[in-house]
Amino acid sequence: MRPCFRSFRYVSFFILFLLIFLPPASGQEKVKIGVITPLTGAIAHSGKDHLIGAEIAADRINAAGGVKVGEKRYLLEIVALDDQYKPDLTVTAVRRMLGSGVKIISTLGTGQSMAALELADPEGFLLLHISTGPSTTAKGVKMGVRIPSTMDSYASSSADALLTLRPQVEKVGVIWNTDPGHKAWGEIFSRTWTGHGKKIVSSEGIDFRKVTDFYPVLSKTLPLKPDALLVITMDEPLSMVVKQARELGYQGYFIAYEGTGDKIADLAGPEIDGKFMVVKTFYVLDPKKMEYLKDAYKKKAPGISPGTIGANGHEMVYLAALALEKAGTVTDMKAVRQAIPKVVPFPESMRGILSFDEKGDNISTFVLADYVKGKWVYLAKVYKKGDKPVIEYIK
Amino acid sequence: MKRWSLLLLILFLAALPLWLTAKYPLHLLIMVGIWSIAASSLNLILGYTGQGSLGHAAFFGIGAYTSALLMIRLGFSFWLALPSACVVAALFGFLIGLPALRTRGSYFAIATLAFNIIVTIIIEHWEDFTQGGAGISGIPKPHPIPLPLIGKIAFTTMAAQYYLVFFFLALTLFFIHRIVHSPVGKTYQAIRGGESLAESLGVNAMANKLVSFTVSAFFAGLAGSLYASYHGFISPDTTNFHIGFDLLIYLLVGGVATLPGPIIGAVIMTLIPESLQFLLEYRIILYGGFLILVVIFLPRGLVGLWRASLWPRIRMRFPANQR
Amino acid sequence: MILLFQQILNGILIGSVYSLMALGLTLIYGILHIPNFAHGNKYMWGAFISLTLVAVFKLNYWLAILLSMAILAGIGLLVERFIFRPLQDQPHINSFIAAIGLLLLLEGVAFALWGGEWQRFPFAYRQNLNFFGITITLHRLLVIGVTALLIILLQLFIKKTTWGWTIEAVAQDRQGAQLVGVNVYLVSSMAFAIGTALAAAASSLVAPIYLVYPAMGSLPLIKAFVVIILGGMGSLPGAVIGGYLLGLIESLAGGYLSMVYADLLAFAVLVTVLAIKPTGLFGKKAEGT
Repeated sequence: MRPCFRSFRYVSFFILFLLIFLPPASGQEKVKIGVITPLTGAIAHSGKDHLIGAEIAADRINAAGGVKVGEKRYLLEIVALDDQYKPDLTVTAVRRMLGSGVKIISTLGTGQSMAALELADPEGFLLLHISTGPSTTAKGVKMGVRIPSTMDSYASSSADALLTLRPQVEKVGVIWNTDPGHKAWGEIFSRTWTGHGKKIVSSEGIDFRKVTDFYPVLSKTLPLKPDALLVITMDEPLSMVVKQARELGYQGYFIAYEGTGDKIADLAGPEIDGKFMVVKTFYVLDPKKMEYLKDAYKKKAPGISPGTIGANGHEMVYLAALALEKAGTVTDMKAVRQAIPKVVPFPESMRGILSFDEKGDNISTFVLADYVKGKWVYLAKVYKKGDKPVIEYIK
Repeated sequence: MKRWSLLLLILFLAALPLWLTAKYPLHLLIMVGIWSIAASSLNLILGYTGQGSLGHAAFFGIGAYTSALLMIRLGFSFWLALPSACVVAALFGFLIGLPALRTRGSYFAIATLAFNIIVTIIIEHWEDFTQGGAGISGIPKPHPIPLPLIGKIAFTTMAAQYYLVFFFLALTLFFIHRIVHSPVGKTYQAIRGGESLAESLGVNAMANKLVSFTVSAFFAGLAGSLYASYHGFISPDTTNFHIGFDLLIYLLVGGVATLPGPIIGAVIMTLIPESLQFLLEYRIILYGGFLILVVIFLPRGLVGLWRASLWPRIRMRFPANQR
Repeated sequence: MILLFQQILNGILIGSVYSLMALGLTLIYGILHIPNFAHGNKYMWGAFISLTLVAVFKLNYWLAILLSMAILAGIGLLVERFIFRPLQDQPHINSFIAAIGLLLLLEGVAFALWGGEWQRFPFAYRQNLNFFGITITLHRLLVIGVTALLIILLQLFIKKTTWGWTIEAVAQDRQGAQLVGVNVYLVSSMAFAIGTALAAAASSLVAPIYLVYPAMGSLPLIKAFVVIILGGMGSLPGAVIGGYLLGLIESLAGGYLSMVYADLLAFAVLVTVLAIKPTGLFGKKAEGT
């Protein structure tokens, strides 16, 4: 080959080499937030919700210029890994993220969060977990923060409010999901309810991930003539229980827990009409926020409607961003952790978080609602003043 | 030649944590080590004795729970809890094997699966004993061993955990190697070849199968115990039969009835999903397709491919008297 | 008393699903001698296809079921030809792994096509029927009835038609059948197609009562395996009797004890039966290793 062609080849390779391996033109600096969630498997739609909620929040913050830490501005980057809802894959994902410089991580699920919590203090990263089981904060991990509110306040206040709002209800039948968090919810509610001198006529556990025929459990529960059925599970199975109960002739009330979203209205509106009470943790008293979230979901992930987990994902990112700004650092995660209780309540909150304690649990405002003639009707607003729950009934 | 390459491999693996200090790769290696022990245990009953157990996750999980409960509830040291976990797992292997091994083939497979599911249900619902769905957290790492001259060896660093798992993997392989190459091992393979035929030659198939199954459960429990201490957290999910299916896949991809097979399978099937993470939810499609292709085109696994096709070709090019 | 009858009726409904699934599974097992773990996801696909046909294409429910059965039969043919036939002569464990691979493939594609959300079937026969104090919806009654019809049709097919005889022949003795000139490959394809179509029928019938989602097949699959072991692999009557039996056990245990114990009981019954009769209630002689 002629010499000038050969050197041409060498030069072009060299330029190509430079282009590939040189750092890209410096764009904005980024802070990564890791989302470890089931993107495949049976719970994949919850995982997707988690991710979309987080991404929408990050997009919104970035559109407003990102996070201002000290003098610099950082853009948020959401990094996602699939853990298939298996705790040891959660740990693998955590290790991988830590290895690539992620310092703020969000996990989904009690078991998965427990596995990640084992690493949070030793490795010094901030773990913002979406879990409902009491064990995740009882563990006392300093770098762990629970995003959903502690269920004690929801569960016991629901029972208290039921007393006032539906005085004709004497007997309650409980059907709970065998997830530890849902089970605990049922237990707290039952304790509070019987503490008022009322009755729990039955308490049945079902693995709602696997079972969708509720005739056996309903055939067993309904003859005991409950006035209200507390069903602790997600919207879709709840709608099936509601429908099947009505088919079997049940006329009473249904009570749902805080994981229930808006879908129940679409799925079983007529069946619950006027006979429903649900804890809503979306900050529904501001309809503009719900509209914003629904629109954002339509644009980002058409066909998927926002659920509680998505709202938690959104909340998680905002908490992280505000805490980074407050702490004034992107490297000292201990300082960021300490800043978290100081940034609530904040205006863009989807969940109305009011305060945090040192164990990483939070208190938020929530609302008790009924669904009447096609519309959500708000019955009461519940929040904590100091240690005591305050129930404000809405006329 | 084989001895030297094995020694070289061991030295390489032993020296690895000295220069590879990044935690993510070390974590992957530790997990691969634990799964290799578990897959090797399955290899004994499935690969060498020919009984396809689908319920091995039960023994893995029982080992994990035994180890965890002994350490947390009774304050056992890890060094006592580990062998206890192996023995308890072996005991369950014996008890489950007694009825299950009376069945054969697909019946045996489903019987072991059913036992596995029963174990999972019991662990999940016997809350007073196992803490149920919430799982057990805060499982301690192995306690430091005092050595005469060197002082204490602690197991708090990842490198130390790596060596621990590596040590037990070597131990497991050593024992399985000895079993397989002993007269007992030949008996197992005879049973695999044809149970009725073996019996007609005077082999007590039931007794041999039972021993093989029990020993296999022993090592599965070993893997479970290591898993519990490494992660610090276990839940009823640790007994989920999907783990048993995964072990089966490692065996097949690596090569059943070969000693390195389970390890190679564990390495490949751990690395592939990790490297495909970017595909997010589409990973599972590729994974499934990959399995089907491997099974159709590489029925003897990668080790089988190596031994049957690749290695002989290399040998042909470089005949022994020229090396 | 009324509670008992209600639970029995529930049990028959649950048993109907299990029977159809088990029939399909045992048909495939009888010919190919592999426990087809992907069967659960074919069941799931049957439901999703019916759902799509009714929701998107606005097809009549029964037409949708037939079409879904046909499509799944086609998928069954492809799967048999390209995945399981090449593995015929290999150790069974290889076919088992292939089934797992297929399971994952079907799940992944289903998720990509239809998403992971739990979906409601847009159609059902809602009328409530009341007799002797027992309540049941028309749809549930129809499921029980149609299942019985399908089982009878299958029985007639196997026992009274030439095609059915060849399936039985190959199931009893593959080589013998080949010797007398039966095209075993054609029979394998047929068995697979019919078995898969039955799964589609099962899921499409109950989809309006249940919810449709990618993981919906895993529990029916395990239960179907329990049934065919209980009834004996390869035995059609065993699958039917075992299916209804399991449905009744679960319903009664769930109704009188708890749902958790229902599951536990099902598996405990299985291992007990196997301990006593290692080849199931109606199983044939112990198969060679």
